[in-house]
Amino acid sequence: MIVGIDLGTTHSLIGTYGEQGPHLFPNALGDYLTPSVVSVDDQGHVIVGRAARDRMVSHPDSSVATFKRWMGTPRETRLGTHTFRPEELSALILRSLIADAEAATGEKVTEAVISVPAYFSDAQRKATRAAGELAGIRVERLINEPTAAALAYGLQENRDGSRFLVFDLGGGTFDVSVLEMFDGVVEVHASAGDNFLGGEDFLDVLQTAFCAEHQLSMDALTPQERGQLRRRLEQAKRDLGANASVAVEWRHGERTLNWQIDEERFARLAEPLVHRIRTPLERAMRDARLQPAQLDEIVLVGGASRMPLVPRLVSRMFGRLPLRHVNPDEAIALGACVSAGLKLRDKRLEEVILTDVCPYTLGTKVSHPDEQGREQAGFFAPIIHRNSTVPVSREETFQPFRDNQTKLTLEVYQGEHPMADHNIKLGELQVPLTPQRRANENAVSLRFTYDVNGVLQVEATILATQERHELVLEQNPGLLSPTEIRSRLQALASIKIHPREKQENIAMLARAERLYEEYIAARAQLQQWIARFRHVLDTQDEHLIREHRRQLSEALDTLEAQA
Amino acid sequence: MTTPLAWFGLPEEADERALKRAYAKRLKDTRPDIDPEGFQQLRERYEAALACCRQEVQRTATATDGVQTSPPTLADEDLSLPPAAATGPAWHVVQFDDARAEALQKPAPFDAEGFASACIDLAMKADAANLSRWLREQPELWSLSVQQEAGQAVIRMLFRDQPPVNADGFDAMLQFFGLDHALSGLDPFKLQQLRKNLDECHALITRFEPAVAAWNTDPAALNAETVFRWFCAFARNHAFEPVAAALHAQPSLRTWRAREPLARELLELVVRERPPLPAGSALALFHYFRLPELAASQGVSLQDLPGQLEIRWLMLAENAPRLAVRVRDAKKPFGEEKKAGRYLRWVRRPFHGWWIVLASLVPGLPTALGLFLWRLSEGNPARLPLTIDPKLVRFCIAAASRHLVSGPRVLIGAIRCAILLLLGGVLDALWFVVLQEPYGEPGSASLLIAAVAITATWAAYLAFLALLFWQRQPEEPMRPRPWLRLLFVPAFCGFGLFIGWAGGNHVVTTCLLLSAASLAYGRFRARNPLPPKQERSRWSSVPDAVFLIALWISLHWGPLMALPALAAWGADLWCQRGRLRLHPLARAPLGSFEPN
Repeated sequence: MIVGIDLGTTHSLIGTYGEQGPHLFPNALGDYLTPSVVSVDDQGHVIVGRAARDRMVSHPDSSVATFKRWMGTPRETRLGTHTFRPEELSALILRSLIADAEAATGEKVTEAVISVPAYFSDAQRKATRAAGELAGIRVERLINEPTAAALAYGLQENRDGSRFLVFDLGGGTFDVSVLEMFDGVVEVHASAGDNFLGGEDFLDVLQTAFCAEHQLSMDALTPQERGQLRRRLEQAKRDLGANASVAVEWRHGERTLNWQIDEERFARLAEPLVHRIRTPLERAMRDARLQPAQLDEIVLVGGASRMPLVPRLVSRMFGRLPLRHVNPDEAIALGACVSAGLKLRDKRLEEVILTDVCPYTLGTKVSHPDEQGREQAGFFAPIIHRNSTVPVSREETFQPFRDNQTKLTLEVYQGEHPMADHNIKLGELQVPLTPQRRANENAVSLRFTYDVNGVLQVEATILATQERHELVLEQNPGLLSPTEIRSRLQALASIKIHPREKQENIAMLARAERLYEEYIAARAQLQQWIARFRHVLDTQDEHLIREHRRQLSEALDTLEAQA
Repeated sequence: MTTPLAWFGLPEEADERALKRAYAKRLKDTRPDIDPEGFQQLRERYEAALACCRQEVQRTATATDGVQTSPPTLADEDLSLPPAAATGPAWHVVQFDDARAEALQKPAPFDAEGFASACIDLAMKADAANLSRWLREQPELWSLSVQQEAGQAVIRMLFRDQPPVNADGFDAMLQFFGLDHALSGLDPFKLQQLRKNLDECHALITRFEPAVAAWNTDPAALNAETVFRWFCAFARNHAFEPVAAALHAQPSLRTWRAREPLARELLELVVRERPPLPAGSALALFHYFRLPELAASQGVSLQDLPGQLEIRWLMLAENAPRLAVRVRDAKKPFGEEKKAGRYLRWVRRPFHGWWIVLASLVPGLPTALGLFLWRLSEGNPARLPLTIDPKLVRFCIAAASRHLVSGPRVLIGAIRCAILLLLGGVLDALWFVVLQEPYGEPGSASLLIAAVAITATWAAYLAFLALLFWQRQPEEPMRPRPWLRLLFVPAFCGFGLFIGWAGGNHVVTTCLLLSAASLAYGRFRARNPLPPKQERSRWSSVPDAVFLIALWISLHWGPLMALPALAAWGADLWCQRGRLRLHPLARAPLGSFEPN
C-alpha cells in the first residue's frame, strides 16, 4: 500500500487513495490530526501524539515539538536518556502514523508520498526522505504542500480551466503556489514561501507581548510554566477568530495575571509577520506573470489561515475575498493521498498529470568587467530560473577569468540575491583546464539538471575537448550518510514505543497530569484521580479500565469547563 | 521548417485554449516522471507555441485598435473564466456586493511619482529600520499592483535623480519592493554601481557637513544666477569632494524636476561665461545637472569643457604653484614657479611681428613657450582659452621642436641669422672706421664672414633636416614620382664622388658622403624601427653596430664612405621590397592595401 502523509510542524495526517477517492485514517484516539510531538516517559518509552502534547506541559524536559523547523540541520534533542536528530523525531511520528494506517486497513505500508513545504531546500528534502527510511518505508516522491492542497481541491471541485492561488499558512511554514488546471493537467506556475513563518510565530508574538506587559522574563520561568502559558495563549489565539476580544488569566506563583487582547492589538503586534507573508505572495504573482484580477480563486489552507487577519490581508492585497471551502487542516493530506494514487497509476487518476516547478533559482558565481575594464567579482549568474517547470535542464557557457588559467572553480548557488555570497552555496566543481590557452578557447559549458524529485545534477563540459566533469554534491553537515542511517535505524528499533492499544490510557493519564499542573485549586482531587486510575490500570482488566476511563474523561471535561 | 504551433497540429491562428488542449493530450503520453527527456522537449515546444499564441493575440489587438492595448502578460485575459462567484452559488462565502469590496476592486488612482519622492526623501533622512516601518505602514501599498507601480517609480527616480541614499536605505527599499533578487529584470551590475555611487554621495555629505551648511539658499530665491555664482565661488576655494557634497545636500534641488529648468539656464551661463573651475568640481556640476545630456540635445558637445575651465582656473594668479606643477619638466622638478609666471606673461602679450622678433632674441624661449602651452593644455591646444591668441599658440607649438623643419622654426632661425649678419656687418664697419684698416686685407670683415658661415651652416642643417624628413616618410601611401625619393641617396653619393673626382674640396666631399650615409641610415631605421625593449633580441642592434664600424673605418678612406651609405640604402630596399611600387600601373588595388 502507498500512503500519503502530511508531516506538519504541529500536526500530521495519513491517508491513502482508495475506492472512494482519497481518505484519511484516524489514530488510536479517533482523531485524524496527530500532534507532531514526541515525548519519552520515565521508563524510556516513546509517546507520540496527543499524549505527548499534554506531556509538553507536565514534562517539558522530556517532550519536543516543532522539530520540522530543524530538518536539514544536525541539531540534536535530548529526551530522557535518548538523543534524537530531527529526522529521527520525524521518523517516530511517521511510525505512529503508519501503525494507524496498518491498523485501519490490515495491509502493510511499503511506500509513502510525503508532503513538504514548496520552499524546502535540497537539504531539508533529503532529511525528509531520510526520516521515511528511518521509519522503514520507501519515500520516492515528495509533493509540495500547496500543490497537494491544490490537487485535493481541484479534483474535489473538478474545476477545469481555472487559475488559482493556494495560500498555505501552517504551523511552522508558509507557502504560496499559483496553479492552473486544464484538461486534467495541474500546472504549477509559481511557488514561493518562507520556511520559518507559521502559527507558532504568531504565538511567539503574543507570548512576547504578554511577558512585556507583566514584566516577566521568559528565561526566569520554569519549563512547566512556559508550557502552561503557551497553552493559554494558544487558546486565546484560537478564540480571537470568533471573539473580538479575549481575556487571558494565568496564575503565576502567588499572583494571578490578567491580560486582555483584542483583534486590533493582535493585528498591530503581528504586523512584522504579516509583512513577511506579503513578500512570497508578491513574488509568486510576479513570477506567474498574472494580475490579481486574472486569478479565479484564492484558496486558504493550513490551520493558521483560520486567524481572521489572514483573510483580511489576502482580501486587501488581491481586492477580493478569499474562498476557503476545503478543510484547511486536511487539504494537504488529501492531496498527498491523491499523489499516492498517481504514483500507483490508479485508473481513476489516469487522466491527471501534475507538473510542478523548481522553487529556487540555481546558478553560479561570475565576475563582470565594469566601464573602466576592472573586474567586479561575486555576481550571481542564474542558470535554472526559479519557477521553471521540472524536470528541467539548462546550459550556459562560461569563460575562465584570464588567459593560461589552469583550473576553473564552478560554484553552485541556490538563492535569489544578485550577489552570490548572499545565496546558499550547495557545492563546487573543480574543472582542470589545458594551460597555455586563451580564455575564450577554454570556455566551459555548465549544465544544471533538476528532476521531478528535486535532485540537482551539475555537469561541466570543456567545449574544446568535450571533456566532462560531474559534480557530486558534498555531504552536507546537516544530513545523514547511508551508513549512519543504517546504524540509527537499529538504534531506533530498540526504542520501545507504547503499543497502539494502550494509547488511550496513556493519553488520559497525560491529560490528567497536565490538568494537575494547570489547575492548582483542584490538585488534591486530581492527584487522587490519577492514583486511582493508575491502580485500575495495574489490574489489567480491560472492562474495568474502559469504564473507569469513561468516568475520568467526563470528570476532567467538567473540571475544564468550570475553569 | 515548421512553426511551434504546427508541431502541435494546430493552424497559425489557433488560440491558447486549443493549444492547451493539444498540450494536455500529448502530456498523457509524455509524463514528466516517466519520460523526463521527452517532457522537456514537449515543454520547450509548448512554451514557444504559447509565446506565438500570445504574440498573435497582441498583434490582432494592435491591428484592430491601432494601439497596443495590453502587455503580453495580460494577453490571455480573455481566456480566464468568469469569477468564481458568478458560476456557482455554492462557492462563495461572501459575495462581492458590499461597498467595501467594490472599493477594493476599484482603487483610487495612485500617484506613484509623488509616493516615490516621499519615500526617497525619507530614505535620505531616516535609517533603514524606520524606512521599512514607514513603507509597511502605507495603506496604498497593500494592493499588489500599486506596490509594483510604486517600486518601478522609486527605481526610476533613483536612477534619474541620484539622491544621496545610504546603502542600508537602498537595500531596504529594494527589499520592500521585491527588487533584490536575480530575476527582478534590473541589471544587477548597474544596480550595484548605483548603490555604491549613492552611498558614496551620502558619506560625502555626512563628512562635509559644515562646508555644506554654508549654503542655505532660500528655495524661493533659487535661480540659476545665484546657484552659479555660489558654485563658482565655492568651487574655487574647495577641493572637488565638498563641492559635490554641497550640491547633493540641497533639499530644494533633490528631484530632477526641480533641477531641470535650473540646469538649462546653468548650461547657458557656463557656456557663455566659462568660469575658471577645477576639473573635478566642473565635472561634479556637469554630472549633477546633467549638462552634457542637455547640451547634446541642443547639439553642443561639452566633452572638452571641464578641461578648458580648469586651464582658466590654473591661469589665475593664486594657482601659480598648481600651474607650475602642471607644466613642469619631469627632469627639473623644482623652481619652476617663477618661470611659469614669466611664460604666462609672454603668451598673454598681443601676437605680432615684434613679438616674434623679441621672442627669437631670448635663447630657448620659443621652445620653452611651446612646451609650456602643450603641457598646460595637456596635448590639446584647442582647450586653451581665447585670451591667448590662437595664432600665438600655433606658432609656439610649431616652434617647439628643434628637430623638425617648420615655418616658425625657419622664421626664428632666419631672424636670428639676419640679426647675426647685421651685427657682423655693423661691427666690421665699426672696425673699419675705427682702426682705419684698408678693405681687402687679411683679417678684415672676419665677423661678417663668421656670421655668413653660421648662417650657411644653419641653412645646410635645415636642408639636411628637410631631406631626412622627406626620406624618412613611409613608402605608403605613395606619392607622385616615388623613384625620385628612392634614387636620391645613390644620386647624392654620386654627386659627392663626382666632386671628389673632379678635384673639389676634400672636406666638401666628406660632408656630402657623410650626409648621404646619414640619410640612408635614417631612412632604413625609420622604416624598420627597433622592436620594443622587452621583445628585443641580442641581434636587433647588429645593423647599427655594423653601420657605425663601417662608417668609422671608411672615414679614413675618403670615397669609400659611399659604401656604408649604399649598403644602408640597399638594406632598406631589401626590407621594403614587398611594398615598392615604382610604376603607377603596378599599384595594388585598394582592397588589398596592407597597412604597415
